[in-house]
Amino acid sequence: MVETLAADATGTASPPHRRLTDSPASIQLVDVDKRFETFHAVRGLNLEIRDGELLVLLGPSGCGKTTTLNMLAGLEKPTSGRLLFGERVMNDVPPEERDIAMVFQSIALYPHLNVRDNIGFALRTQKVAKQETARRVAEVSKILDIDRLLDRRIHQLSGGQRQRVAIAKALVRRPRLFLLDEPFSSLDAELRRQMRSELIRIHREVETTMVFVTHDQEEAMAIADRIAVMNAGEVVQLGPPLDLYQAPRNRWVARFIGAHPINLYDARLAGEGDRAFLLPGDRWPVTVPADVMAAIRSRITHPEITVGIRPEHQIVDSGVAAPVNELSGEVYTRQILGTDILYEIKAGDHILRAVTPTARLFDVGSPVRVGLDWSNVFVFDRQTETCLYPTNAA
Amino acid sequence: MNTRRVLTYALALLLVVWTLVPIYWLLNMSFMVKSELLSVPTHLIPHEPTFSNYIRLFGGTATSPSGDALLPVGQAPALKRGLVNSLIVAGVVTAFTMLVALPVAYALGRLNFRGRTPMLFAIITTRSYPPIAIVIPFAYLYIDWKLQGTLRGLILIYFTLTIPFVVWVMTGFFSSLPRTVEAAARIDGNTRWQAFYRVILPMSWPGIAVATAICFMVCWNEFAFASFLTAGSEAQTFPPVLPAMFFQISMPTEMAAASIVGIIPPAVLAYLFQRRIRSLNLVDPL
Repeated sequence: MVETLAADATGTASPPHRRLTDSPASIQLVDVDKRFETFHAVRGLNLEIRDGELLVLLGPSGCGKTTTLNMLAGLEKPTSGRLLFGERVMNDVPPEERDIAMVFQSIALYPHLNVRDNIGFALRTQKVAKQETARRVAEVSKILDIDRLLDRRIHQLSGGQRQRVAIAKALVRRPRLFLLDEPFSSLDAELRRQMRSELIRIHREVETTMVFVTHDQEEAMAIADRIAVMNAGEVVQLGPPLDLYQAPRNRWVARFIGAHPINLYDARLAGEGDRAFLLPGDRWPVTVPADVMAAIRSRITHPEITVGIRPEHQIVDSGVAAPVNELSGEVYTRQILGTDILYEIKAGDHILRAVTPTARLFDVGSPVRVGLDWSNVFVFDRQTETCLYPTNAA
Repeated sequence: MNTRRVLTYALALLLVVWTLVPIYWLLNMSFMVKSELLSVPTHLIPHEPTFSNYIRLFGGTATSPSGDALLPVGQAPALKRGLVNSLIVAGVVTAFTMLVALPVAYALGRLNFRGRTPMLFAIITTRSYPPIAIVIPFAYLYIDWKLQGTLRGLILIYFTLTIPFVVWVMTGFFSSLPRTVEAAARIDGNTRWQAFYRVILPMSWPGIAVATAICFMVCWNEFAFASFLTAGSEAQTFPPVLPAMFFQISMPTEMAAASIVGIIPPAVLAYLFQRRIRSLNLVDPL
């Protein structure tokens, strides 16, 4: 045990040459741990960043996503495990030798230099010829629409302009890896959306591998090729945005992903049959389809489950509820969102959310019935919180 | 409200007068000859302004309004040497202090290492006792080491005043700079050392300018060490010259001129750096 620890401390994890895949160009984090004095920030992280993809590290604050990014940048050293760029172990390589570019949340530009010199700073450091530097600065500043600002000082720029300069400064390097640490979080909503589209476009153009850190699931869904959802120092689920949305691995991911908070019902299976109650006190009886029930029974023996239904999949209609599968309630609040409407519906002491197309307009206070469509329902084990249905959740 | 404002301005005016009147009086006296100084009622500005005091201070001769020849001030050689010595000492000490203290302050302000806090405390402690308290042991030591009455000796001992001061001020300054800018510099291909002098130093220019100015003034004004370790020797700096003049019963007009000469370098520095001082963001490094 002592030997293992000693080996880990030097950065050679056991087995010594484990890689996640044989892809020669990918970046891999193998069994990576990062401990600070009192805080275990990253725990046994295994993650492959494919060549050319835009990977988003998504999670709440303190989940280890920024620490992971800093390890990729070389600003933090893994406590144990291996960081590989292709075949090369990078654990002890300082940031200046990694051929990476990074855009920071706080927009780290050099206040003593003007825009042109900020963008060209890294090229000067690399001793790129003056003419070449000027050409590349001009080219990249055109892409980002800041070519008129080149002679300004940083403090003369707006927030959006600063962020463009920061991205230009990173792009001009043509780095092997592009890291972005919540780059848009200090911008207002309008600008953020605009920068999002721009980043997607830039990524299409340059095809550089990008790792983007954010706590905003909407942003992550919008830009990612793949998302690694992190919580408490671990990757909870890794996959394309739609996979995370349609097949969350557990209750936590289901809650975290999605524009509107998911409805979670602490439900109970009733006996051996196909009946379940979605609300406490045996309220809202439903008939569970055979394939769903089979999936549940094959995984657990106890009756405690959590049923998750996204508001956009919650069926709302006027009229009186059927005795089974439907629930009576009344419209409690209504938010017109434009393309659709968000309702809060009160059924006894329970409030649930539903999103409907704008065409289905119900008045506040009017009686409605709520139903569910089993093709869009998640079932979780209430004890372990893992997903039981749909079964394709990785 | 109005009464309060009037009172505030009155007090401010009083403070300004209290501060500036001695300087005004020095200036006034320094442009008078002895006879005019003694005239009653007192002249508030010189009726016959003359540079004779300044000329005689630097070893020249002058003629009084009544036609008498005025000889150089007796302390002229010591005064000239004192000014040169002071410039050498202050210049050398300031340059080396910056060279040594800036990297130290950077390390204390930006890196986390064991013993950082005790080290900061130790540094501030060296400034917590009056320098005069350690003059006597140093004087005996310097006699033994043949450093008594030498510029080397004085320069060496001034580091004990300036380095802790600059380290303390600049540690706070460096630690207040955004960390990501340095991280960005590293990622842009700079080693830690390159990031320090290509990014951190240029960003810190206001702090460095002020620390340099204050460091120079500390050396220029220092009196206790200078008088114990250099008074009467070839290495005597400017500050001990003034009391020497006083005890040799020089004329007040000559002493006034000498005082004004002593005030000029720090005043020029303060003027040059005043804009920097205003933008300085001093932070407690602890």
